[in-house]
Amino acid sequence: MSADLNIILPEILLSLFAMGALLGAVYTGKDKLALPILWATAGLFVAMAFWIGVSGDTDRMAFGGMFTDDAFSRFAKVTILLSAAAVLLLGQDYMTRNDMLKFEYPVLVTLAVVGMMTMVSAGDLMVLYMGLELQSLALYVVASMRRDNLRSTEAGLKYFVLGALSSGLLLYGASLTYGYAGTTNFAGIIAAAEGDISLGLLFGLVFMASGLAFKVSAAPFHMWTPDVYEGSPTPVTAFFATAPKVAAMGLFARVVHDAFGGVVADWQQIIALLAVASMFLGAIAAIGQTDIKRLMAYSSIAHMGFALMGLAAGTAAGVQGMLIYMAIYVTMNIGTFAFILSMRRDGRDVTDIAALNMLSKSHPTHALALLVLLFSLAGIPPMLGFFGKLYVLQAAVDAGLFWLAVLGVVASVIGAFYYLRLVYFMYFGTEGEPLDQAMPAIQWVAMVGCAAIMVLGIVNLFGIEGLAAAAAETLVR
Amino acid sequence: MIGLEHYLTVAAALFVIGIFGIFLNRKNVIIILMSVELMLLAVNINLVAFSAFLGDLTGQVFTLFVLTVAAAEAAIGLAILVCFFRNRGTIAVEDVNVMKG
Amino acid sequence: MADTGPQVPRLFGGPSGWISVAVPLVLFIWFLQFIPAIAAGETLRWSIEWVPSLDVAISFWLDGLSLTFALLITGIGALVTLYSAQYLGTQPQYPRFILFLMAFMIGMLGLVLADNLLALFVFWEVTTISSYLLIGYLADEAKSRRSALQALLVTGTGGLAFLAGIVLIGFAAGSFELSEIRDVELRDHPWIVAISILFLAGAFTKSAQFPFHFWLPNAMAAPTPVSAYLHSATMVKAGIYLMARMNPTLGGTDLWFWSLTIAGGFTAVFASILAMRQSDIKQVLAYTTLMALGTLTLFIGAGTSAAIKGAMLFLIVHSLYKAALFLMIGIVDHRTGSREAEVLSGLSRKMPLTALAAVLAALSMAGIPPLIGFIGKEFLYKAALSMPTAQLWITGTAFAASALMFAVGGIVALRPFFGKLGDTPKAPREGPIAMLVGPLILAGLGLALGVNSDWAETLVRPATAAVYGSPVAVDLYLYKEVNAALILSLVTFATGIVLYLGHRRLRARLASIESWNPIHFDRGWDRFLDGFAAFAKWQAQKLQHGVLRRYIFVIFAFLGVTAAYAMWLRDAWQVQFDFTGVAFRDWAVLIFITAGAFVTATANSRMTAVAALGVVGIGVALIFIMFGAPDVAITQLLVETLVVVLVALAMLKLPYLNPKKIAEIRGWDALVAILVGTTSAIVLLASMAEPLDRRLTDYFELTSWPEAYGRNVVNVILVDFRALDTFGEIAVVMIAALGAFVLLRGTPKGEEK
Repeated sequence: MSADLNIILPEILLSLFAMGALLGAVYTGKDKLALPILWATAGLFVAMAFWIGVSGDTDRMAFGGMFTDDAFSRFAKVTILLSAAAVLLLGQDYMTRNDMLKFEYPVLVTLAVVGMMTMVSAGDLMVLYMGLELQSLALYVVASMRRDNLRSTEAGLKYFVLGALSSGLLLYGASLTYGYAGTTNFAGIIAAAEGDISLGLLFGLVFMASGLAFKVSAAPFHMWTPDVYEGSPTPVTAFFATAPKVAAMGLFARVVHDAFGGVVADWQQIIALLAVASMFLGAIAAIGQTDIKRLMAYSSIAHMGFALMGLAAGTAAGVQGMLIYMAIYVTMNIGTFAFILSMRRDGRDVTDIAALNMLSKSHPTHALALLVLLFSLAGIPPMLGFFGKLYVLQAAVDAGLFWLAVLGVVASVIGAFYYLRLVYFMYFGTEGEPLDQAMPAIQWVAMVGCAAIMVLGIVNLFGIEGLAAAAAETLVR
Repeated sequence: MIGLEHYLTVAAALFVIGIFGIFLNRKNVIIILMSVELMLLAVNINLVAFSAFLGDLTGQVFTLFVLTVAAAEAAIGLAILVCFFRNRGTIAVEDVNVMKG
Repeated sequence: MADTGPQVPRLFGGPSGWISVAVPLVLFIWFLQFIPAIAAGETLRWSIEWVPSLDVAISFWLDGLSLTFALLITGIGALVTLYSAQYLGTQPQYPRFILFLMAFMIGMLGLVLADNLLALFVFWEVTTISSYLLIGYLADEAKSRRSALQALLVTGTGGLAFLAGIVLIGFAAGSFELSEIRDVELRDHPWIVAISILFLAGAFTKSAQFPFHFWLPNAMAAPTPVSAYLHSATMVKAGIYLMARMNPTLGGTDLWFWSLTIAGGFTAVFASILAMRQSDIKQVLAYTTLMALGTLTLFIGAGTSAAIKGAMLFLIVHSLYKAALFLMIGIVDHRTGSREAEVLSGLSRKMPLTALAAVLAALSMAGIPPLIGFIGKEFLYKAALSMPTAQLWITGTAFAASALMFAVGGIVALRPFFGKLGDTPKAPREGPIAMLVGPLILAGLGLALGVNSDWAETLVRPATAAVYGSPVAVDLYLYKEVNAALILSLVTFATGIVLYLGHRRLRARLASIESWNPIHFDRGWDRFLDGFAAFAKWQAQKLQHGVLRRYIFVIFAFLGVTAAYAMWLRDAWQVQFDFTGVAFRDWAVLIFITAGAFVTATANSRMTAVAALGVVGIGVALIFIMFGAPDVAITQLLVETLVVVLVALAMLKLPYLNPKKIAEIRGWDALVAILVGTTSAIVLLASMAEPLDRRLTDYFELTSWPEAYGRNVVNVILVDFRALDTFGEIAVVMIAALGAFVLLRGTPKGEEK
């Protein structure tokens, strides 16, 4: 029992911290403690990430296989924790400025992160559901954090209604899976799901995949994404774009490999279809956008399509590619959102793409860093983003999904347009009123740092390749 | 003896009515929330029925979870809805459409 | 490298000026030393690992083709930079110009030297971007900006297609190294069509082949040295380089043969006719460049050893005379203030050296012996006449283009320099020496190589071998015997003279044809861009319409179709269902629940809906009791009560249902609802036909005894489970409370809308 508790110690500590922070804040007059709590949360996240990253290279199970601690979950957790910490710190300035920095925000983020960590460690349908809901409920609330703002509340409402619906679908699938596999444990399901699986199990899989597709915002379950990205406060949008995506992809990989790894052919086509739909929809719909947050929403839909392509391969190489892709994706997004968070004109926040006009003149360094990030997002060599795509494409080809790879290549070409359009505005656009000069140091460091990673990372990807390979190895046996 | 399939049919019926409810009503977001609730109830029936026929308690435990979480979800959903209403002045389904494109 | 600097006079743009000359010069000399090795058939290679796991390396190689290009790039580069130092050196933006020009040169060199296709692509994009910057150099002019953007968009789009092709060929061949790809047999690969199309999209846009030709004449808004260097000698040849480079791999298919010969031949003739239409000499040269690119494409596509040999020779020939002519017209423009063929006349007396360069280069262009241009044309004709297929097309287009070229040579070199002295905006005088060096050397080389054709052989032979894929005997000569090609040349001269004499009438005729021609590629491109943007906007509005209910519609439509498809795959539509043996009690509960659910879903009053939902909840609790799960039933009742209370509370803050909002059911909604409903019902019924999988239950009963510390398996699971369970539940409830608090905590007055 205590061994079990040891395994989930990071999650327990984070929850205790959240509760402690909550109590502390309530007793000492609410929002005065908001800033210290935010910093403490970020610090705790980083510490946890190091702890999880350094500790243990063994695979352990807790609670009779319900909770898995393996290389895969550690890889995902470190990514989640670090990106959540980065996004928290990035948004701090914005939140303070807009008088939105309430103590609940870091607490809710902490609880959402606990949910995400639970998701990627899930070894059982129940844990999966708990983790997912833990995350989702917190996210619904942070999306509508600006409760006096119509867009923010509409974002929250849309996200909630669709999210609850998708949870329902997922749960329905889980109940069918339980009934026809006779267990909720992944290890049990994989033993039952082999060969020609029963119709009940197949539909369990289909419904669960639909619910998960919603969480990773894969088309055609993506429709909440642009609205929620646009409506939520920008720091929250940045959060949505990073950690939850990693968690959802991690959970998706867990379910299809840990629970349904014996029937790859049954889910491969579904995921490939989702991947293609996402890549094309994300690429085409983004072209006409004028709001940079909406644009990033479509961008993330397209990126999830690529990550799903890795998953669709159904091989260890595919999972490895997916993990690498997600790590790169998160880094690019942190850098880009660091810039978006700083976009202000005459002291007011703007998210209009037209504000980028001639950025190269007013902010040469910002423009250059953003250029690198956008090139990377577009997947143009030699930036890191290109190699991320190459990994998943390679995996798809190796798995014999040639059509998927070809469509992926075509989609990435179409998708490159709108990123390059932003670059065009920055360098060759018409003169307009420039953005304000000031950019908080944290945001500057994040943006330039991420841009530097996009360039320097191509040498050896900072070694994440090996870690991702090990992680994939534990998942796909 | 009444069979498993009968219970599952009830569950399926509830699930389907939940879906119908979401579609056929265009009046009020609350009805959509209730319809989602119906779907969760369908899930619960499934779980308990399977649990009984498999002779395995896990399903019942799962049901307890779903119930708790559903209540929490309803609380949050209603809170968000109230906020939305304050800003928009309506909760008609067709009016949740400020952001698009 | 910089130690060669001080020899260059300071007035040439200062330090940036002499560095810009020294760099290409040193590189040119450095590349010269490789000639013996390459001519002997060697290939040199350097490589550094890049992303080892994906087998990607940064590698360069030097063979006949890349060496030829490298020498052209650095050699012409040195002359052009020298010219620019005089031409633009006094302008304030000059250092920036030189920066872009150097970036371009490095990009272009990298492009032709790269062995790795990904590295090649990066350099390819560097040339695109630096070319954009150089065209937009006079960025104040709206026309300049538009041309620059158009060039960027066209070549950039092609570049992206090229990247897609690179990725595909990398997977198909298992390597991104050109030197390895050429050893892989790809002609029967299923992707060969896609790869070829994507590569050609890159090459055709870059080298301005029809129908992507329109950007190149517009790009002539750039300063003359840029036109001379990028848009005739080097950058536009990057597409040619790519086609030549890929010829051993992709060549030989019908697709390759026909797309290259048709596009190339058409571009060549079409462009040389349009060249006759122009009166601005720079525009004339722009169109003749198109013609040359078309000819090169045509002969690379033709693919025989003779055709490749001819193409490689013509490549060198064209770079020499065309760069000379561009630089020449730059001097004329500089000194007279005009580039109009109708204005310029009799300049040879005032500008003898310029005239000399112009005449020598034009003779080479017209293909008159003993210049190298003649040999180039001869070998093209020979190759065309020996073609096994499409002989008529290739010979015909080559002939038409050459004859027109002859006439153009006259327009460019005879009209401005001979006859009566014309009335120009500025009084003409000889150009400065720094600007004359380039055209004179380049034009002189045309003569020198013609007379000593062996010199050209040393480059043409390895280049041909590289493009053809195996060594080809190359023996260049001015005259050996009277043959078909020579006769064709004589006919070409005669036709050319006739065309030159009638060129004014021809131009007027072409202008009148143009005035009613409805097809404008230039405007068509603009319209295409507008249309694309409009389409993107339209579909985003259509798909992402913002209405929540339609989002749900999409989700269920997809789910319904997927489920139905899976059913169809499994052929599981037949279901039998047996209602016998259902007790009254069960029927009662069933009807109770279903009715409640139906009322909930369709109620007009919110109170009714809440009450009906409560009814369903109680019904479900009844079912739980029937299954002997009283604890769950109690929880169910509690939760149900809680939910009803919550809803009732929320209703205090929410409006009544508005009966006016109750609209009719739309057909599509009903259809999807029925589709999803029926499918999920049948799914359930069908899946019940199969037995539950009890293997695991049995398995756990058997095996977990010794592992667990209790006798009852279920209890063990539960006890173990409770820890995590409680943990999760507490967290969820906490979030719910916190969330509701966050959202509903007292809003300060005035903040409310």
